[in-house]
Amino acid sequence: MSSQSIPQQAPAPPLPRLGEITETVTNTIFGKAPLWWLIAFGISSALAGAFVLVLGAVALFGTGLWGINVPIVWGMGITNLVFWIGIGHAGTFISAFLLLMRQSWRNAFSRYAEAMTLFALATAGMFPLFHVGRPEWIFYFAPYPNTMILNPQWLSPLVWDAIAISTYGGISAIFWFLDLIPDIAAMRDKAKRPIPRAFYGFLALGWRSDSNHWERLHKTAYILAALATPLVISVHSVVGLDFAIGNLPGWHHSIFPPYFVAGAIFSGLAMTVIVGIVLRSGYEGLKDFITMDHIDKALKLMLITGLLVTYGYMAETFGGWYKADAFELPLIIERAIGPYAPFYLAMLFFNCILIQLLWFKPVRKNIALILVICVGILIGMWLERFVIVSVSLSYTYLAPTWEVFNFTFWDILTIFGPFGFFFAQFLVFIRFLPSLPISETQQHAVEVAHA
Amino acid sequence: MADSNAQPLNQVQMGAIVVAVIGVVITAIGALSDVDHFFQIYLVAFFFWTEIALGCLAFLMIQNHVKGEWGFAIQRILAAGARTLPLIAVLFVPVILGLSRLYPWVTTSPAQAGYMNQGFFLLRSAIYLAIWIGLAYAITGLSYRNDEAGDTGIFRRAQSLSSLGLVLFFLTTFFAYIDWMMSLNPEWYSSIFGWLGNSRQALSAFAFSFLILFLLKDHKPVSDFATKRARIDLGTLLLVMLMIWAYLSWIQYFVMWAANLTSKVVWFDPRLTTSWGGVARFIAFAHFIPFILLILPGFKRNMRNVVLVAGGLLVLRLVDVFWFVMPEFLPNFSLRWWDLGVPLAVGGIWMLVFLWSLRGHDLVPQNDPRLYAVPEESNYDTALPAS
Repeated sequence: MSSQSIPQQAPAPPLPRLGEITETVTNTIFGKAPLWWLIAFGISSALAGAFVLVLGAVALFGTGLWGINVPIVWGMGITNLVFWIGIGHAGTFISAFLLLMRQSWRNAFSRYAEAMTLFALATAGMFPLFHVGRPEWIFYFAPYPNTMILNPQWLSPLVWDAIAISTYGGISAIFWFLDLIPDIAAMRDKAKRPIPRAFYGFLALGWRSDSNHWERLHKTAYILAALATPLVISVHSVVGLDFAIGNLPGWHHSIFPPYFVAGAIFSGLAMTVIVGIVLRSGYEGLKDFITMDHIDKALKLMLITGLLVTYGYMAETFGGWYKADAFELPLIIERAIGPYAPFYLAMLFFNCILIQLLWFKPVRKNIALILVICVGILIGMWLERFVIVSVSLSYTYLAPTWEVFNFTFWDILTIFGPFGFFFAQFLVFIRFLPSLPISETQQHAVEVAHA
Repeated sequence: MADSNAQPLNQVQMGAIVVAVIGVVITAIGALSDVDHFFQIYLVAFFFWTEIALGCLAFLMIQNHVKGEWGFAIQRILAAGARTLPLIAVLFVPVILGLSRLYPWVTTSPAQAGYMNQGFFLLRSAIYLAIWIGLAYAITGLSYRNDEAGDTGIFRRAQSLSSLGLVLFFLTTFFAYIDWMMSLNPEWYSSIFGWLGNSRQALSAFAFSFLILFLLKDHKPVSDFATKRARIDLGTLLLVMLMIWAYLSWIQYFVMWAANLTSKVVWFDPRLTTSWGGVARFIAFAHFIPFILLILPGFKRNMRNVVLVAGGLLVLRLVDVFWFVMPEFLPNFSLRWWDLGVPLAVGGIWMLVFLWSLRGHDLVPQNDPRLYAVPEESNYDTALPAS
């Protein structure tokens, strides 16, 4: 549209007071820690402690503490790895992909979603580290030059995983920090005491809000976004390939890579919305920035990705039936009516049926229902990973070795502990760094005022 | 009914008539010499043009949600493309006639006989076509109605219809691809096949729309919409579609290559190990040219450049469909002199229906309040590199 076809409006509406946005965001940090933050941090740290306990025990006594054995050699370690990497995906999707699509509503989410990416990756990274059983030798994953020319097994998707995830983590960290620089500078300028001023001053890298600075920042952010978007696809595709290449009934599906990407964004958006709602209710001032409209849009995206995941289930199950495969079909039937049926049916309920409520606008406005649906999605997507990883391994090509997974005490801790580890990191982040991108929120406010 | 005499459209129409006539004559002569081969090549032509029409329908529905600036420029092209679906239903009749010559499951009894039998196949095909035609006419009808009425309620209806329509679309295309294309080899199943087909549709429809937009770009109502930004966005989206297609194609190959299971490689084996392997390599490497060109900074600013790429991509689509279908019938790659006649005959007829549909209505949507919701270029955007 050229500008002349937009009807002239009479007087321009008043601009939002941009200083207020800065105040609101910086106040969440310079103010005293609210009670809910202290309680949340306490609980998260306790859970994180449990997680550290599990990892320590596994390192000392071996991976047998987890209920893994032949044929189910992949248990909680890999299930959680896939789950947590998935949680991270929404961050980059929101900050990079939606930036390329010029969706400026993303700004309210982008900062904390990107932070979630980093913390989820840090959490996910723990699992392969300890699942291999020899964390002290993990450096063999890196193709470092050595005199014995000992290289990683390039044909193994696990090595691709190590490369894909570390690349992804690196780019995400740079992208996140670049976006933070102007806001850290704002923190520096608002800080009253010398130690915070020095701390933020050091991190601000001498930012002066010069127009040259801005131009370079935007260009770099755009280039990094263009680099990060394929990474969102590639990382979870590689995770999908871990299974698809594994040549097992329930694993060997060509749809796995793209459908893992959809599932990752699906679960990540659920976590983003939950955190958004918590931030809104925790800091009154943020309500004006993380609005119900933002949440509505995220929920719509969630519905779309959820439908893609449902399509994946359909394509996979239909194939087993259509081909009447001697191994695939028994797996599909066992999954639905065998000992794992509660897991599988709960997964279908949370990922395919419950989300249909999101078609209706009143549901997308009801905070309680939204929380129920989002928590349901997290449970459903965790179950999906469990069904793919451990349930498929239970029904291999050798029927006499069929086995049912036994959860041990340590498995249960491994399910809940990482949530504490993740949220403890996240809570530290929102105490010390701006959880909303100040300048981009101002930009969006100006655009909305003009529209 | 403004501006239905755009000069380039007249030329295209004349061209389409000539191509259709020549194509039909060549096809008729060829079909007399080898009926089996006629049906095989006809299937290739049918898929090629059906994918364009279906891609138009899908983007029309997506546009009702995304409301991108680029979408308004090509909205009526997509609408006309979607409204050719009744013709696709007619064009399906020869496929039905050739059913026993094309699909091995008709004569043998396959493992999935409960699903793959003639009666059920025809019933399903009728359902797919009915759903697509219904969606295309309902959604374009609402938009045309609004040209006169200018009623915002219409858009809300079009939007809800598009949401439901997209769900139906992905479901029906999933099964249509299994029935029409995958079951040429009943031994084989690939769960990604539906999405791969959708990505081909996207690529075809985008490239095709871009060509038509180029023809109309200097004509008054269209030129207002084909802004520089919309054109660059269309070029970028073409690149995105290309990347999605390449990603899905490669993943399908890679997963099956790595596992090397008999039941999975039965499809790739004739397509890669015989002289068809050369065609496969040509398809793979030829797509790098548009990829590199579209990614070059500044290339997309000139519409003429992108038109060349879009035309090349369309030709590659035809080669691609040929490679998908023909190895089931020909053990080695070969061409006959009349092979190109069939897609041209079908294409000429399809094009005439498309043009008739395109010229029956305004070339751009009228009274669309959403047009004013397209934001002006903000400072933030201009700070970004334009391509």
